[in-house]
Amino acid sequence: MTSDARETILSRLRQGLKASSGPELEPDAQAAPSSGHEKPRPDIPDHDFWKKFQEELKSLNAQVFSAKDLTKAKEMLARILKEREVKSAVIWDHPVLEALGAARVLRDAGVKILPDASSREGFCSQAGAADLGVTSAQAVILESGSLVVRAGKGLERSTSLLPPVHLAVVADAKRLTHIPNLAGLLRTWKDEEGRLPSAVHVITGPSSTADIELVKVLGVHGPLKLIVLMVLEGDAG
Amino acid sequence: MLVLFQEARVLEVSLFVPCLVEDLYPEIGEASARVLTRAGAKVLYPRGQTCCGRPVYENGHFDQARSLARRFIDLFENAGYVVAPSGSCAHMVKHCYLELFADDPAMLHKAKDLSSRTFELCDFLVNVMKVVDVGAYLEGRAAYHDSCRVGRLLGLKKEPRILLCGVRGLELVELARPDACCGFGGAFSVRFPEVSKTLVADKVADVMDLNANYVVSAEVSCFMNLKGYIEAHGLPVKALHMAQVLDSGKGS
Amino acid sequence: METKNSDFRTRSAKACLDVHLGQTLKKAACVHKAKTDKAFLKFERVEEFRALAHEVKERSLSKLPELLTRLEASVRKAGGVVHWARDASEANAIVLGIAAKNHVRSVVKGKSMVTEEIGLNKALLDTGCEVLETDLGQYIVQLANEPPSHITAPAVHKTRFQVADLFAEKLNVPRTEDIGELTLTARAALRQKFLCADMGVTGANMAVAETGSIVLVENEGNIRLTVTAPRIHVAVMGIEKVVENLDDAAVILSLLARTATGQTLSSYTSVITGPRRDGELDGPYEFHLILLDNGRSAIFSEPALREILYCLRCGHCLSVCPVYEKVGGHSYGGVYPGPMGSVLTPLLAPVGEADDLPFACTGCGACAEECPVQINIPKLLLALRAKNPKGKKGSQTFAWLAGHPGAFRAAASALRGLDPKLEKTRRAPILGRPLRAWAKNRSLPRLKKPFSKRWPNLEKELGKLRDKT
Repeated sequence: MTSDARETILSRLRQGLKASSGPELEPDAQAAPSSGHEKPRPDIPDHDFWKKFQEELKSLNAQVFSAKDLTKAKEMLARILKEREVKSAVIWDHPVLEALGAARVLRDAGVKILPDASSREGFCSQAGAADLGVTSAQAVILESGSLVVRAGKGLERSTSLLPPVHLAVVADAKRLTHIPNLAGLLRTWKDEEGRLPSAVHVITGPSSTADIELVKVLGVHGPLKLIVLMVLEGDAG
Repeated sequence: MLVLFQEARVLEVSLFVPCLVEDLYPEIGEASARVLTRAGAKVLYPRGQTCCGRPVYENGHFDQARSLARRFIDLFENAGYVVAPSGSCAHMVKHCYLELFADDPAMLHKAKDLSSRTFELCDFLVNVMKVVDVGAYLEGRAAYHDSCRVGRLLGLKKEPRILLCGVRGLELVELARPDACCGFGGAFSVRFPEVSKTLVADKVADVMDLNANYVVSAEVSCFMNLKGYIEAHGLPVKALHMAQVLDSGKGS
Repeated sequence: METKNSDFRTRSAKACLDVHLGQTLKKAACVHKAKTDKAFLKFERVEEFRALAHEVKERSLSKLPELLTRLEASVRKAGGVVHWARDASEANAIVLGIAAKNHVRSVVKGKSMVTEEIGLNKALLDTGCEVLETDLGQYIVQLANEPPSHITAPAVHKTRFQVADLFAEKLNVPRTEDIGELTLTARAALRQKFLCADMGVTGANMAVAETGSIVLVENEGNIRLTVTAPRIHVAVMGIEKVVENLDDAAVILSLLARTATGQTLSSYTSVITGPRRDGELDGPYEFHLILLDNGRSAIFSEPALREILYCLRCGHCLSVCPVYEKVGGHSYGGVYPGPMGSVLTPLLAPVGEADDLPFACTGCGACAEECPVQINIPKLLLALRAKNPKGKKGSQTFAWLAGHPGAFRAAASALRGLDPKLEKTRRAPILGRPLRAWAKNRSLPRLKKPFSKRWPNLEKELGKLRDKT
C-alpha cells in the first residue's frame, strides 16, 4: 500500500547519499568495534555489587529489602503485605517467585490474587484493580540502579505498571554494570527465530513527573512505589 | 603583591585592530599597544587593516567573508605574532578562516599558519609572554564578564581573571552567571532588540547585585553593548575593556 | 506543522514582557543545569560517549536506506507492520486507515513531537475519534488548547494556579492548588481512558534495525500504558531515527536521560519488538510502525545541513540557550523550539516561512558545547543564513569597502565629519534602522579620530615606554 512512498523515500535517500561528498560519509562504514565499554566487569565482588546497587536504588526513592535466604525473604514479603494492607495483587508466573513460594505467602496473608477467573475483563483492567504487582527482575544495571523486566507468557507487562505498588524480587538476576551491557543481555533473550521479547522494560525508580512547576511528584501513571526485595543467597548472580 | 615575570621576552607583535576599535574605540587599541609594550613586546602596526570579515561571515555570506579573509591573510602574511584585543576577531582568524578555506588547500595552508600566530590579548600575555602582571593599578571592585567568544569559543576563562588579579587595588568579584550571554550576538542586537535588551539588562543587574564599580570584558562588542546600556540608563557602574583595565594607573 | 511565518520578533518581544514566563524559564534552566551538572559529574566518560554517539548517528545516516530496509524486515519478522509516508498527510491517512479498519473510536497518545509535527490529533479528531494526550504536561496543554512550549516539559509555562483553574473547569473536580493532588487527579482521569482506548499512538526515540525494535523513554509510565492496554499500537517515527544495532542504541541511552533530565536513565526505558506473542495476556495485538519523511530526505541530501538529523530530541539545547531562556518555546512558532528548532523548523516548514529563525541566535555556542551528539548548531544556523538573500547587498557593500581601505577610510572620515554622534544617520534609510534599534536601549558610540591616525604619535609614545621598561 505504501510501496510508492517506500520507493520514493528510499530513492531520495540514495540520491542524497550520492550527492554528498566528504570523508564523513562512508557507506561501507562498519559498526564501531565494541572497544570494551560494554563488557561487564567481572571483578566487582558480589557483595560490593549488591551494596552499591542498593545505594543506587535508595537514591531513586525505591524501598529496598535484603534477605540472606529464601526463608527470610518470605518473612519480609509477609511483613510488607501486612504493613501495606494489601488486599489484592497480580503476580508473575516465574521460577524465582515459585522458588520463593510468593503466591502461597500472598494467599496466606489473605491477599486475593487477580485476575479473577470469574471476571470477563481483560488482564489490564484486573491489574488496575490490584493493590500490588509482584514480578521478578531478570537483570539489574548497577550504573543506573535499574531493574530489567521482560514480557512473556506469564510475565505480564501490566503487573509492574498498573498497580500503585510494584514489588520486584531480585534473585538469580543477571548483573550488568553499565548501560551499554544491555545490548549483550538483550541478545541472549532472542528466541529461536532471532526475535527479542515483545517488550523489555528497564525500570529505574517509580513513576514520576515534574511537569507542573518542575515540582517532582511520584506515581503519575505507573506505580507510586517501587519495592525491591533482594535475596542474596551465597551466589546471587 | 606577587609580581610574576617568569619570562619576559622582547617579541615583535603585530597589532590587529578590529574595525570597531579603529573608528569607535581607538583608545582600546592604544591601551592594548601600551600594555603589550610594558609587558616587553615591540608593537608593530601593519597598515591597511579594515575588517577580518566576521560580520559578513555571521550573515552566512561566505564568499564575501573569504575575500576579506584573503586580504587579511595577505596583510599579516609576514607578521610574526598577531594580537587582537577581541575574542571574536581572534576566533574568526584562528578557527573560522580554516573552515572558510577547507576546500582550498593553498589558502588553507596560509590560514593555518596565520592561525597558529594569532592570539587574543589575554591569551597572548599569559600563555605566550608568560606575563601576569603588567604593572596596572585600578581601585575598585570589578566583575568579569565571560564573553561567549572568549570564554567558550576560545576556552579563555582563567587568563583574563589571572590578569585582573594582577591589577593592584582591584578586587575581582564573580558574577552569579559570569558566562551568561550579554545579548549582543552581532546583528542579533538590532534584529531582535527586545530580547537583546532583556539579556543585557539581566547581565548588568547581575553586576549591580555585586556592588561592582566595573564590569570588564575582553571582547569589544560585549564592551560596547554593556557600555551602551549602562550609559543610556545612567547606572553607577563603568564598563571597561580588559586592555583599558590593564593600562590603568600608568599615566593613561 | 503549524508554522505560518514564525515572526519571532513579535512573539519574542511579547515574551520578554511576560514576567512570570521569565521567572519560570529561568528557574527551569537553573534546575536543569543543577541536575545535568550532577549527572555528568558522576559520569566520567561523558566526552568519550558524546563522540561515540556522534559517530553512531553519522554512521546510521551514512547507511540510512539500507538500515531502513533492514528495519522493515526485522519489524515484519517480529509480527509488526511497516508503513512509509512521504509527508504529513500520507502519515495521517495511514493512521486514519488503521483506525477505520479496526473501528477505533478512542485513541490515547504518548508524548510525540513528530505527531505534533504532522498534526495527527486534528486529523483524528476530524473523524470523530477521541484523542487524549496522556503525558501530564501534554495533557495540560491539550486541555488548555495550547501548543507545548518545551520538548520535555510541555507545560513548563503554566503555574499550579493556572492548572488548578484548568482542571476545575474542564474535569469538573473540586479546585486544588496542591501539585500532588493535581497529579493524582490526572492519573485517575486518564487511567480509565487507557483501559478503554482502542488504539495507542506513540513516537519512538529510536528504532533498531538489528531487531526491529523501537525504544521509548519516559518518566511517567503513560507511554508504557499506551503500548500495553489498547489493542493496537501505532508508532510514528522520523526516518532519521533508525540505528543499526543494540550497541548503538545503548550508547545513545547512556546519554539521553542525562541530558534530557539529569537522570542516569528515565524511569522507564522500553524496548518494544512487535505486538504481543502467543500466550501473552497484555500488549497490543497489532504493531504498526510509520516511517515518516516529511522533509527529512531533503535535509539528508544537503551535506551542510544533515547533522541536524542527529538530534535526539532531548531538549538540552533549549535549557542552555540564553535566548530560549528569555522567550520560551511559543516564540519559535513551530513544533520544535530553541536552538534545534531554529534549524529544523525552517527546513521542515514551507520555504520562506520561518526564515527569521536562523537569525534568532546570539552565536554564544552553548548548545554546541552541550549537545550529546555534538551537533554544531551554530554552524548549521550559518548554513541556513547563507541560503537567505536577506542582507546580501549589505554584506557585498561592506566587503567591497573593507577590501578598499582608501574608500573605507574616506567613508568613515566623512561620516565622522558630518555626524560623529550618528544622530543624522539614525534617520537615514538602510543604516538608520539598525542604529535606531540599538538606540532604543543603548547609547550609540561616537566616531572618534581613528586608531590609524593616532598611530604615529602612539608609536613614539611606545618607543619611550620601551626605553623606560
